[in-house]
Amino acid sequence: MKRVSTVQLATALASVALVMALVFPAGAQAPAGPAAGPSGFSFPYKDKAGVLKARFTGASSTPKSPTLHLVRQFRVETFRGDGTPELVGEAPECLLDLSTKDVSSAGMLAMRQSDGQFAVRGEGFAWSHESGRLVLSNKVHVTFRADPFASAAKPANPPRP
Amino acid sequence: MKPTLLPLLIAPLLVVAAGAEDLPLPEGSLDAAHGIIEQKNGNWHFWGDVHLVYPGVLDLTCDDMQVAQATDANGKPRPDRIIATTNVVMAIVMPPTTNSVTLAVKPGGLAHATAFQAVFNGTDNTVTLTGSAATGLPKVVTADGAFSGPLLTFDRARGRFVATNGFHMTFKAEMLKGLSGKTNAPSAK
Repeated sequence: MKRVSTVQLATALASVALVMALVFPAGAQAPAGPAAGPSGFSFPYKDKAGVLKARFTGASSTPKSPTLHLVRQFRVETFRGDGTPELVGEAPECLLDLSTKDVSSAGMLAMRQSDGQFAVRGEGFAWSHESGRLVLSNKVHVTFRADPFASAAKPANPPRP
Repeated sequence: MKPTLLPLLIAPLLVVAAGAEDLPLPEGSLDAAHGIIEQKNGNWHFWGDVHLVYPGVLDLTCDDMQVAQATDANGKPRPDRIIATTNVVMAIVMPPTTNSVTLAVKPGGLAHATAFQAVFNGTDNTVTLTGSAATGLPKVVTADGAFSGPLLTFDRARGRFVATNGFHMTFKAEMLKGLSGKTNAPSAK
């Protein structure tokens, strides 16, 4: 089997932050605002070229203030440029701040790469759009299929056959 | 102080991936009480009962782990520096085959390392173990011996181990059996 490069772990972890950035990209409208309703919502996010980059869904969205919404059964799917699935993130519920585009919850966040190479989950999370920081408060669990300590460069002395 | 090379003893210690190409990739995991992923600067921080497991290769526990990314020539992020700090304990499984002469560390064997801090440097492909006043010197223990020193560095690209500022080694006498009569092959000219 072909060996997975160590950079894949880095790429996968970086993708977690990236998908959060995709949730509320700079200049984009927050998904749970106008499109949200008591019967749920589905919000596709497309880039300027019209390519689908992500899809956000929720079972319901309840305004807590003019800018703060409680979203239940939150789910985000991201897609590569060719349209293939990339990442899936799910949270039973989360608070969405439309003014800051921050997302937070005391509950679970689970994200996984669609090809099964990487997944992360945590209990309690906060995503700050301004700082680009994802805080996982408790019970962080990451799984991956790459050697985190393997170098991209091959050893000077390869093993004997 | 001049570094001391121990190329024959520990050479393959962290050549952890040798022989792995024919094996299916195991699933690794990292558990921690808390974590932060910084998108903008590419830094990750895990702390509280950090436990990194890569089956058949490495099992590492520590109290704090920080990962700093760099971008490779292809523009992809890669771990440039992994710093495991406080109560670092590593169990390293040696690959089943290796090109290095092994004295204390046998292919397929297990090396047990303890340190205050372990730093993986992705730029020069080394792992550096250091101690502290509270925890003492970093130490590596195998089935046939042990060694410690103020600064233990595994040069993974060259497959050698470097001890700086001296080292102390203990080993079982029987590990020397079978070595008599063996000489190094002449170097190619």
